Amino acid sequence: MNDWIAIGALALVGLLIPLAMMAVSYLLRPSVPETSKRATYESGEVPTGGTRIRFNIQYYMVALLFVVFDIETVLLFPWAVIYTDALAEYGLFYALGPMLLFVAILALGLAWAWRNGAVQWAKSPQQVGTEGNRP
Amino acid sequence: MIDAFTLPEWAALAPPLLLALTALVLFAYDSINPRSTNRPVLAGVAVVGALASLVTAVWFTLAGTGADGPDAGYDLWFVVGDSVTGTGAIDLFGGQLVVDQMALFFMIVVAVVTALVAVASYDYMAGHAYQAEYYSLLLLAATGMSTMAAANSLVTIFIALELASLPSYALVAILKDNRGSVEAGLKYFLIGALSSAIFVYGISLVYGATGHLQLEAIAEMIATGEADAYSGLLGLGIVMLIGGFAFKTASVPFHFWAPEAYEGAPAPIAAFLSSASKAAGFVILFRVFTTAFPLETTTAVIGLDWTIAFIILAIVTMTVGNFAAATQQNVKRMLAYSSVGHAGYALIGLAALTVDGGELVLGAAMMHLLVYGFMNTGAFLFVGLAEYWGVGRTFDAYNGLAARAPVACAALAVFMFSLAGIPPFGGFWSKYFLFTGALEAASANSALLLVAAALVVNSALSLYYYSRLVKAVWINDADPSLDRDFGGTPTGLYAAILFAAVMTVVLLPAFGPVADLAIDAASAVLVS
Repeated sequence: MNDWIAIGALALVGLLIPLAMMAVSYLLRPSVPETSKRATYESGEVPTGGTRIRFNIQYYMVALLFVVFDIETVLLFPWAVIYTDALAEYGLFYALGPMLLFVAILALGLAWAWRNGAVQWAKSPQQVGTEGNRP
Repeated sequence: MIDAFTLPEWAALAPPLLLALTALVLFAYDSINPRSTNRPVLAGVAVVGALASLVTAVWFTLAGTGADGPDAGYDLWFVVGDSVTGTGAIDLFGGQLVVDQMALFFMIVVAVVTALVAVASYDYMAGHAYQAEYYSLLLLAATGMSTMAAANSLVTIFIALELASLPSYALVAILKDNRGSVEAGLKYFLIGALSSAIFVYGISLVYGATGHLQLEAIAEMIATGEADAYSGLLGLGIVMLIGGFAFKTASVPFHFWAPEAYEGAPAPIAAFLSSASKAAGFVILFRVFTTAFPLETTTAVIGLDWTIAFIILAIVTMTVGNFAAATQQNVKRMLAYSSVGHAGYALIGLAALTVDGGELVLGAAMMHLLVYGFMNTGAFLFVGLAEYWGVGRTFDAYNGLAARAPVACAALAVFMFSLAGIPPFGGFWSKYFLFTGALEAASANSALLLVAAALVVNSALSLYYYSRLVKAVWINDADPSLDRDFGGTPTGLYAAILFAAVMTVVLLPAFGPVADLAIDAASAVLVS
């Protein structure tokens, strides 16, 4: 028998089980329509306002800067582990140079983001009015 | 050979490295002096960087870097790598990157287009707030494209492709207050994300089937028959790779982003994407399919000749592009669809490959992309000039422009007739070589006759809509009720347009060396 038949059967069963459970519960359950069941949080806070609110871009900026340093760590760690061996084999220039270059490029990126206000948190409306809205 | 000076091997990557360095210089400038709108300095740095990249790429080409054969190249005062030139392609970082003639050829194309776009942007982006960001994103995208030319492993290809794509999305949407620009950027980003996902999945399937990411290693696994057990997986992976390349080169089935993105984007960016980005997409397409999936052994494993896929794609792409272009009223959309059509012409380069030949037609496709880099960039920059003057977007709005700007309109006529493939311009030769190459290959595979016929029919059709634009600017009279207020004469835009026009014309007499270089480069990748 082809292996794929077993995989296909698994996929089929995997699809059938939830569908069967939903069908059985549909047949068994009583139907008691009530308005509070349709609330966003059935037994929690009453929500106010719409769902389409705008998040501050700052959350995204901080996450982006975090990713930069995250990647830096991921690459620095294995480099640090083999550094002593690499130093003996390839010399200081080829062992240390590329990593210094890499960190320098990241540092330049961070300096640019810093100078351009990526890490300035939560401006008041007055501040936004005076320096924001560049065309 | 007299060699005064020998550079280390990694210096062969100087063209992309110089572009990256320029981008970093711009970032540093913007860090020291944020929100600077000192356009002469910023545009000047970008242009100097692009020109430095161009000069090194041309120099390496002339010096025979990465070329095969002892008498390749001229005696220049420095060489890269071994002290003797002509020792073959330079493999860097364990074959992850390779600098050969094809890589240098496309680095030249990318650098030329970047320089033209940077010069033209000086006027087009006047009054725009994000000057330093604009030029550094432009240079970063160009770095990615230049690296794509040298990428020789599926990983470096993917990283270079993303490095080229991500700044492009931001560049398309850089007119933040213009709804069209933002919409175009979002559409481009979403389709780009989808096609990147398909592409990376294709890479994973190829890796699963062969156990390698480096292109020569993949070819070796296919040749030794170790991938035989996974022929279906490999075939599916190849199809998905084609999907990723189709996005980058704007060919069917991922072509529909092109008109939307080009229409909304600033015109210099549309020029950049439709010329440099397309050329970079084609170089990895050529390299992957000639190096990693050699025709004979791959056909033996997956049981299907991959040229069939490119025959179908080439015919469909050129037909869809040209027929859609013929019905457009908006000039920029017409050019966008015509760029889809030209992707179809360049696909012939792969469609007409045969087991024991095809360097003529592959070289012709490379030449076409070089000529296209001038004529199409020029055409989009003319649209940029019209947008700068606030002329309007339709053919009717362009009526009678020649009375105001005869020189630019003469350049436009050169671009249009060259795009159509009329003899006195560069576009004629590359199309002619594609046609003869397809006919030559037709002796092995008669489906190529159909491709050659489609090329002729589509070129004839394209003459209709290209000449329509020329007729609008030269023959039709401007609507007298329109009171058009032209600004001054933008020097940068004019300089870029005229340079592109001159190169389009000059490439015709200079086609001999270009053709030799392209065919040499093509035969080098086909043999290896």
